[in-house]
Amino acid sequence: MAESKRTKVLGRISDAITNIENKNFTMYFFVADSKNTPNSSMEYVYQMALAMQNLGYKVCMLYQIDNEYTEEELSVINENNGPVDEMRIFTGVGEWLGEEYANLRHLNISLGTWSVSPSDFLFIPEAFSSLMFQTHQHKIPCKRFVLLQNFDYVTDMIPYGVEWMNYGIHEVIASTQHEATLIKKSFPYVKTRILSPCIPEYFRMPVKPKNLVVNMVAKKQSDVNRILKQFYWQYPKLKFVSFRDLRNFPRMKFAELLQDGAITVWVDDYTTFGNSALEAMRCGDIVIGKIPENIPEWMGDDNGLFDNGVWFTNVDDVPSILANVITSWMNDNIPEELTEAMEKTNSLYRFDKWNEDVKNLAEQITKERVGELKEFMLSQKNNKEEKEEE
Amino acid sequence: MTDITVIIPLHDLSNDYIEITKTALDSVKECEKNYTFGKLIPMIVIPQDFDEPTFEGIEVKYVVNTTGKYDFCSQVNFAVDSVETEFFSILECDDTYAPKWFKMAHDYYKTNEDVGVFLPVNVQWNNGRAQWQYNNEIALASSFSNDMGFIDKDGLDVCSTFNLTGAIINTKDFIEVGKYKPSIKFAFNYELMLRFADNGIKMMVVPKEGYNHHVGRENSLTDIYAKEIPESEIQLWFDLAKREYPYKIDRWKTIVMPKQEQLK
Repeated sequence: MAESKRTKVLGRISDAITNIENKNFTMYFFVADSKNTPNSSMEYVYQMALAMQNLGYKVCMLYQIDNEYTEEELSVINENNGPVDEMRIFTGVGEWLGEEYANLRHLNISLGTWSVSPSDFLFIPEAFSSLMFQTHQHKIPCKRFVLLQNFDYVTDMIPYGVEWMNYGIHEVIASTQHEATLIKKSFPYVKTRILSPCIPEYFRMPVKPKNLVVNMVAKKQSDVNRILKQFYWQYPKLKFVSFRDLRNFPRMKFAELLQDGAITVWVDDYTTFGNSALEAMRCGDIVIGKIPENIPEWMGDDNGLFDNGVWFTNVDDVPSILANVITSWMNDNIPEELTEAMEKTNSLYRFDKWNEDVKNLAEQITKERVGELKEFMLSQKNNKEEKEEE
Repeated sequence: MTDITVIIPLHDLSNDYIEITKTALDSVKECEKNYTFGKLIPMIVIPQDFDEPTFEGIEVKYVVNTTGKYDFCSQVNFAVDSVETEFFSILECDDTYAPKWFKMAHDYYKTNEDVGVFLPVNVQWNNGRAQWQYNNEIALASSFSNDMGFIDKDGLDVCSTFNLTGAIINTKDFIEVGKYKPSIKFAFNYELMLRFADNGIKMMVVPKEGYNHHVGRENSLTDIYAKEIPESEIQLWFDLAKREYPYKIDRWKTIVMPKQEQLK
């Protein structure tokens, strides 16, 4: 009986190796429903999935909604104009990220129809400790990676006394070196790889010259109010300057508004990468940014902050900084150091590089997986031979 | 937009005026360093019977006004007939351009070739340059018009204080709408802009500081008007502008002071 089981397992492993080599497997990405709220973390996951699909891999986005409406249920509700429980619907990313991403295959794991094989890969964003636990508990046979973009989510979501080792997590793909270093400090046994984010190509210099509009990108409404009102109070001569609060716009529209404006004020204390500031820079905006708690790699190094933006620590300093930048901009007197540093930064995180990085990553992890499976088969054969000798 | 004529109306050639005109011309020279799309051609219009002044280091085209009318509007109107470039601009002799004005305006012209008038944000300085304020900037406020920076008739209903000095104006459009009306004191810029709008000529304020406007200089046009025209008359000139803009020719209408009884 044991022998037949071993043969069966070995056969399955052998099939898995063949499937990986023939790209006949699936890359699964677990996502949360963004409910139409733009989210750079989720965008990173979707970008990775789409890039994998474009490279010829099968891709499936997984989500979990218990008691999700069936199509029939929804049509009955619509016919009767009945109330809809939004929590039972997967809204997806179509409206803010685009159809290309929304059209990726999606599957609700609560339906119980999800099945995986040893040739498959599962990417779990760092916040989903429960999924790490469940997949470990049920011994799902695929290879699992955690996508780490924000260490805060790890500490927020994992119960006390538990660590990733308890979930059998040993492989991490981090968006920055900083995050990789942090996770290594806590979980030294994990293997980390870096996949830097990509700024989509639709964030680009505008064709038309810019309007004198100040874009505001801030997590807290109170920061927007504080900056804007103080500015108008302190600089009444500049009261003609328009501000635009860029919150929750679909990505394309967000890019369009960044292109239209000349200056972006960016306040995000807890960002790990600072997508919005980079996106603004790509659109040719002068970025006036608050230095985040963890300084992103493009913003500075051990020698200090780069000149690619105007950086501040206190929100109350923004009105005077803004007045100076506006006056400089209105005279075409933006310092060359700033524009040159911006250009340098804009050459980073390009789509071509991202595509290449994703390709290399996919090749690397599939190759390693084949190696692991072969090693497993070999160890099984050796065990068998040892037993036979005994 | 390649070569641009810069009209400088001079009605007085005393030493003081020559000195301030030199500063104005220097600003044109500075602009030329940054403007790579053509030449800036200074054109000084002087009254008949005056000797042409000389300005070293800059080539100036002189136009002698033989009409006998030497007010600001008449001087400009006369000079425009000698303009050979697609666009011209007006520089008052006591003002200066910002060094990059023409270059910055050209950046906006490239995607707005259908615009007939490009106004700068004017920086208005008082005597001694101690205080300043902006002019024309209101068009850049998002609430001013649907198309940020553009001035249309609705916008002119809200604001009548735009200033065309420093603006880059399409010569053909200026002539076709009938040029300035010298009879409309105080509100001549406003009346012309109403006519531009009425004739479908697009006007936009480039969101750049382009012109330094000296306000309150003794014997300047605004100073003379301030002395000549009582506060109570000012609004009447703007009302007249609103009545006269449908006519291309200057009908030399004048304001009618309301009787005190009517006012009551």
